[in-house]
Amino acid sequence: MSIIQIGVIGVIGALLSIQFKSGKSEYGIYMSVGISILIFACIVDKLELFVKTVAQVNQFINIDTSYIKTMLKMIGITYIAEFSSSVCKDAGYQTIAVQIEIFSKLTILALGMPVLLALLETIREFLA
Amino acid sequence: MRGAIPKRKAWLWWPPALFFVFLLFFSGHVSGSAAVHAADSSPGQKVDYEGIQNETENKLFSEFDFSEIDDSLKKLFPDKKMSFQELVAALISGKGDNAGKLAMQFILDRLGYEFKYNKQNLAYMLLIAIIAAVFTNFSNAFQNRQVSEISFYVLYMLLITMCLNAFRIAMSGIEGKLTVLLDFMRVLCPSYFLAVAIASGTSSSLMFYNIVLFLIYAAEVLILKFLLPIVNIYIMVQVMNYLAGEEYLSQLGELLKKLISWILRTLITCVIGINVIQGMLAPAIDALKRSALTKTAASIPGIGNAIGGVTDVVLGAAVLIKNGIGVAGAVILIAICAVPILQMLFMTMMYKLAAALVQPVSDKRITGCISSVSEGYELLVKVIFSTGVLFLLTIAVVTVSTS
Repeated sequence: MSIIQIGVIGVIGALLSIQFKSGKSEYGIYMSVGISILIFACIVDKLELFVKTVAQVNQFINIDTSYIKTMLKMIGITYIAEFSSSVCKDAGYQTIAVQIEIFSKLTILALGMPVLLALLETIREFLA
Repeated sequence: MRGAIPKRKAWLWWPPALFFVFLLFFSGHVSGSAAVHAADSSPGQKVDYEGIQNETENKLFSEFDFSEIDDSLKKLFPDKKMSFQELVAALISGKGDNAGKLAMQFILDRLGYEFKYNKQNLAYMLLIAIIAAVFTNFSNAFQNRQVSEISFYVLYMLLITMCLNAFRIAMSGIEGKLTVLLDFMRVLCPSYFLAVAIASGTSSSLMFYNIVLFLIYAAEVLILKFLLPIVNIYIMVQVMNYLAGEEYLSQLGELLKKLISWILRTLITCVIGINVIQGMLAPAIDALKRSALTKTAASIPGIGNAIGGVTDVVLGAAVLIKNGIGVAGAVILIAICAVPILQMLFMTMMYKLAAALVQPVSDKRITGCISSVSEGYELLVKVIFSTGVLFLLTIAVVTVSTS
């Protein structure tokens, strides 16, 4: 899907949810969540292209592919966390949004631990 | 000459003359037979100096034991069958005229090989730098900065793992080469200083032998055990310095670099100084002793003239062989040093090239890391170059000052 279509969908969704703001504001929130998920689904196609490109680049260099996988995973985690936390913020629940962000940060940190260990191992081997 | 000494005083000259003949016998049967040969020829008849020289060279060669050097050469150049004596003989007879051509060929071959071998490494570095740039920009799209930082660290780690592994291999290669160099000097010394003793005299031989032994020891302790680990630490510090955005360790890195180059410079200066000072004194002592001896022999009535001429030829042959051994040793030293120096120079240039290529697209930390690794290779070049120069200078000073 092109950016024009996405833009149109987003603007229409926002205008529609304004209509519900005075009376039933919760419907506006449902609508914004629905449209966000729609846009997210549209991006997933493009993300696949990105992952494929990275896999192709991986073939050029025979380095440990698990690191590249980890990095892609981190990007996915960040994406989902930001998506869900902004939905929560929209609904007015800041605390939940912050909790989601903290969870995502800790998950990324946990994923990054093997990298840190490998780095330390490299240094130890080199200086041994 | 003969007429200058009155007959009645001739007996005064006999003890030193006898001693001289004895010495000639002692220092190789060579000179003894040459002296007898000369004594047989009647005055006025032309002495066959060329024959004496050839005979002397052959006899002198048979006195040297090159087997240890040959063993060491076999280890050094396993694919080439080279005997040290042949090399010395070739150098003495002046057959080294196409050496320059051979050296050029060798250098080109070596560079081609290094390029082929390291091309992949270079490509990996460029790819990693480009992927890092792409990933960092991609993850900058998020509000969360953490992911872009961590993905940078992942790629930085891959990069330094590659660089450090390559560096470690190069380092162990250098260590091996330096050990080989020291081993070669150890086996070269006995033969070489025997030649110096025959050609020049025992005092200079002993003095220079002490210097070379000290030099080998110093090189082993200072360069192999101290400087190479410091180069390792330097590389590590530099790489870690660029890991963080801020430069925490750059001063420490600079300090280590200064330390290494100062130690090397001081070592070279000291060795030149000691060599030159010893080179002024020791050969003069020997020359004095020798000239006293030869003058004495030359003034023997009757055969003195012939002995003087023959002694000159014999000594000339000894000097020639000594210089031949020295030059052959120097040539082998250069051959040992040339390969790692070329290799390291090539690596330096390659890493600099990689840094230059990735600078436009990549983070400045990655550029800094690659270029600091190239500086590490430069330091390795300095270390091995200085070590080679130390020994070459010593051989050169000994060869020149004892002639």
